[in-house]
Amino acid sequence: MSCEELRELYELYVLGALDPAERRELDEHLGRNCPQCAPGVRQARGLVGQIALAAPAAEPPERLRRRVLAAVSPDPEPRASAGWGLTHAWATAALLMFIAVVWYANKERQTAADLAALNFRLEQARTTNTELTAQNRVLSEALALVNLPESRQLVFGTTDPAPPRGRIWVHPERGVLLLASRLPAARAGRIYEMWVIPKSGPPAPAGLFNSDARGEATHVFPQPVNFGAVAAIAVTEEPAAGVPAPTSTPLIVAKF
Amino acid sequence: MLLTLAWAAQPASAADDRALIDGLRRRDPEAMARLYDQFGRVVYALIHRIVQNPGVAEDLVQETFLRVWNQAQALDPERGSVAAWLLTVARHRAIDWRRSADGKRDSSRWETYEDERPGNFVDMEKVLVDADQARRVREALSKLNEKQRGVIELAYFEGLTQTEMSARLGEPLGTVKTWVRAALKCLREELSVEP
Repeated sequence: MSCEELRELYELYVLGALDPAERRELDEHLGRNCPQCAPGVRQARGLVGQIALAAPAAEPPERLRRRVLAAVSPDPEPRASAGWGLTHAWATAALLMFIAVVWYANKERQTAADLAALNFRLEQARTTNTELTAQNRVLSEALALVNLPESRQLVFGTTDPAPPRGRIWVHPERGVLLLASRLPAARAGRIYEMWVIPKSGPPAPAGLFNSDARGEATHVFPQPVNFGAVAAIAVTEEPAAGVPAPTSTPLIVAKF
Repeated sequence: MLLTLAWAAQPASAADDRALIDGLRRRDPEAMARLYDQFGRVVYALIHRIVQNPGVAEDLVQETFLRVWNQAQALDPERGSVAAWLLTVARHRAIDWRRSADGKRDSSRWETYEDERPGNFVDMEKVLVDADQARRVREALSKLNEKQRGVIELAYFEGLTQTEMSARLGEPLGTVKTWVRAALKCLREELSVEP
């Protein structure tokens, strides 16, 4: 199809209302950075987004604000039972965990430690609804990334005398997934920050995370990575708000 | 299927938006509080409209805000549109849940998250989230005939493709496409501004 013909599809593309063949065609076209269609689709996102304002009024309960803010608080409040919503979140988490376990069981060279880590995360998911939601998100992103053939796996810490150890998957479009074990929680007022280190130029920040009480950490950085330009993925301990450039010696370095 | 006005929220200036995005990128919980106060009602109303279940809506609202919190570093403070991004993430979460609950195995339509990358929401017309804009949207939709409004609702609130709409409505695909095309043309004329 020509750009003029594709123009009729911009809003349908954003809505997700195209059939697979049409969607693929526009996807491929946009992948070539068409100077007409790319801004056209951006404008369509604005138009389609406005339809949300037609949703009938529905007042969120006051506790929802507390839930959302507690989830991003450094010290979340204990939570009460969430009833049916918890059941739904639990069911979703359990399904994701099942898929993850099957994937891991069939993956060559996968260690028992990885399965143990997943099982532990399953136990963790029973604790609070907040944690369940976060677990769903992380696992969804992780599964989407590690299953792709384009993903490259890096292993760190296996030859080091001291922990941490783990694996990093890097996908050129979907970004970076880190799974680490034996990584003690960052000190008070500090946090771990991941870096994408290029072959030349300064390291680029790739998100903040911390490890759990068992010293295990999962972190996803969902941004494209240029395989040709990257030298390594690294992790440093930094002030809790994060920093634009590393200020300490890396705890983790996985060379590309 | 009449659409009704949902809510009213306070409009924000471009400087407010930049400050908000900067705060989210710094992982400042105060920025998250401002984000929720500004958009929490519309996000909840949207998700509630799609899933029709208050408990599920609460979970998905939380998931939506957490996703934005965790990916905000990738949003450009100068060029990004946090409202458009947030509403897209909310709609995707809700439709994925609905399709999964309906037993549709292709419910992972947005699982790849290609459509909701923060980088997609730059250099675009600001999505206004206030009472005046809500009124404009309602008026624009009221200009559609019942068939046209129906297919827009099926596409936006239920996430159906045109083929699925054709099956649901028992109408030929060509007819559905004609309704959709006419509806979108009208909405473009009523709601779009120059890029």
